[in-house]
Amino acid sequence: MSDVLAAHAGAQSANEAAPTAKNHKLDQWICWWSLPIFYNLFGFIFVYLGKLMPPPRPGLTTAEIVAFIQANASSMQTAWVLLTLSLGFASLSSGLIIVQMKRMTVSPALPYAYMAALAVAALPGCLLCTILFALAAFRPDRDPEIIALLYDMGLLSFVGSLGCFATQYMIFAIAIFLDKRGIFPKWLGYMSIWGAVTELVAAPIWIFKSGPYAWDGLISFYLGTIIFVVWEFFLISSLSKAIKQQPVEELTSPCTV
Amino acid sequence: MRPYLQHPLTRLWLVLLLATVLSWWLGSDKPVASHQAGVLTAVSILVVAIIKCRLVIRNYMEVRFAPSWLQWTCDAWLLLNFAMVSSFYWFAI
Amino acid sequence: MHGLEAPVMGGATSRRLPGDVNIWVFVIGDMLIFSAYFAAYLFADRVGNHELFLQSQQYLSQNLGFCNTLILLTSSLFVALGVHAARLGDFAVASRFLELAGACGVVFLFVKAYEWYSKLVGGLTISTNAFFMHYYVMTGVHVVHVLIGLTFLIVLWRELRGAPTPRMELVEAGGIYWHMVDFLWFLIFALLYLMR
Repeated sequence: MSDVLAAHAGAQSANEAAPTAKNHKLDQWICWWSLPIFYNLFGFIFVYLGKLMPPPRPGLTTAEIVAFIQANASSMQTAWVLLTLSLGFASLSSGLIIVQMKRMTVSPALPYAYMAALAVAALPGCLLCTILFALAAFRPDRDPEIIALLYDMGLLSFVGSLGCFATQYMIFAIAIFLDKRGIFPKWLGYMSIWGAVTELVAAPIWIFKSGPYAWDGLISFYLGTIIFVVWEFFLISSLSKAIKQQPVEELTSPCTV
Repeated sequence: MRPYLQHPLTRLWLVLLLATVLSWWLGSDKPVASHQAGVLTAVSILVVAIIKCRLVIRNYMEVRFAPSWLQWTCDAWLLLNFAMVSSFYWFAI
Repeated sequence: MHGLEAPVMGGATSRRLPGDVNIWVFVIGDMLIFSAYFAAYLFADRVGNHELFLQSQQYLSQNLGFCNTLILLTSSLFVALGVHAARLGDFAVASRFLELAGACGVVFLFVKAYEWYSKLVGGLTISTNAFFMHYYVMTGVHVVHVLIGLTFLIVLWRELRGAPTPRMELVEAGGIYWHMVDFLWFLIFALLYLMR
């Protein structure tokens, strides 16, 4: 009977200790929440509002492009405004990933390289294409050729930033494989290799106007998006685990809320 | 090195080699008796390829000693590919 | 296949996952991804394009494809023997086998490069027609996998030569990946080069 009481007392004091530990990591959890929020928003913006996932087929004529934008003008305008406002969220998740990567038994060069690769990739891959699409949607009075050019530039910068993203995936994979502490699971490193190869396979979109390797193709787009979504999902869940497993003593500047 | 050359894995290599020669012969340009015969030839090449894959998976990758879920998964994948490729050849021309 | 049980596993007959779960996530996922490529190829071929595909296939050298198949399946033998040697503690021999396997891999790449070069010189590029689009992309993705495999082999080689007790799960994992690269090629060879 007394050991039951002792066990109960032990559990109680553990529970009392737990809230403090959770508060110490509050700042990391705030960063973490930016991931599911941002990526769901991102999906909503690109799929429902922006009508760009899946993208319209390549090789549309100028008139068709202008008609497409005009038909969806109001939802597109909403999409791009939302994106310009929320794009910054991505930096929260980058900061978090880098902090967790710094816990790995690898040189900080790798997390810094990750950050640099992603920062460079996000410029054409997200910010630039947002600006170009917004311009196309908000200035319907422009010359149709210009609108078509903005649309083409937007889509190609969205997909064409693949080299930087491939680099980001590879850096992440290398860090995971070299890490002896297992901050992230090894299979996430392997999935990152899929991500890198997917980016490489997206290269033919510059050439093909139709078929599986066009920018709306079964392989370049659909398979690529599936792999990305799967990777992102497992990244988010692995980050959550990594934060939870991080010993409080390790926090260099614990949150003191 | 000698004992390794007499290893069963090396015998398997010989089998794979012969199987490859067989499929190469099947795939070489020969007059085809009929459309059906052509499809049959193509499917038999596929069968040889699938058998080679299974031999590599089960013996080189040691899946035959692995837990059943892995054995089933690999066999399912082989079946999926066989069904997919052969049905395209049978039905879609 | 009698005789393969005891020598390969050193007498163990209980079920054991070769390598580790991580590499199997990778390999099975990759297998499924390649199936998607095959499906895309079949769909493109069979949907009214068969004549074009048949004609284009004539330009592929079955002999070069055959050579490459032999090269890869020999490299697989070397890798399998290398893993086996490592398991017996024969690390020097194991790393020698991996060197041979790696050499085969490099030869594969050279043959592939020559094959592509001879096509390109003949004016057959990735945008020539639908068949060649699939041909270059599929063989290209496979080449990327060969390069990843070679990287893996180098990692294994260093492990076998450097570490006092090389980690067997790592060695097995690398072997498993290389064998996958090999058997995926069997299917590519059959599908693109042989099946008409």
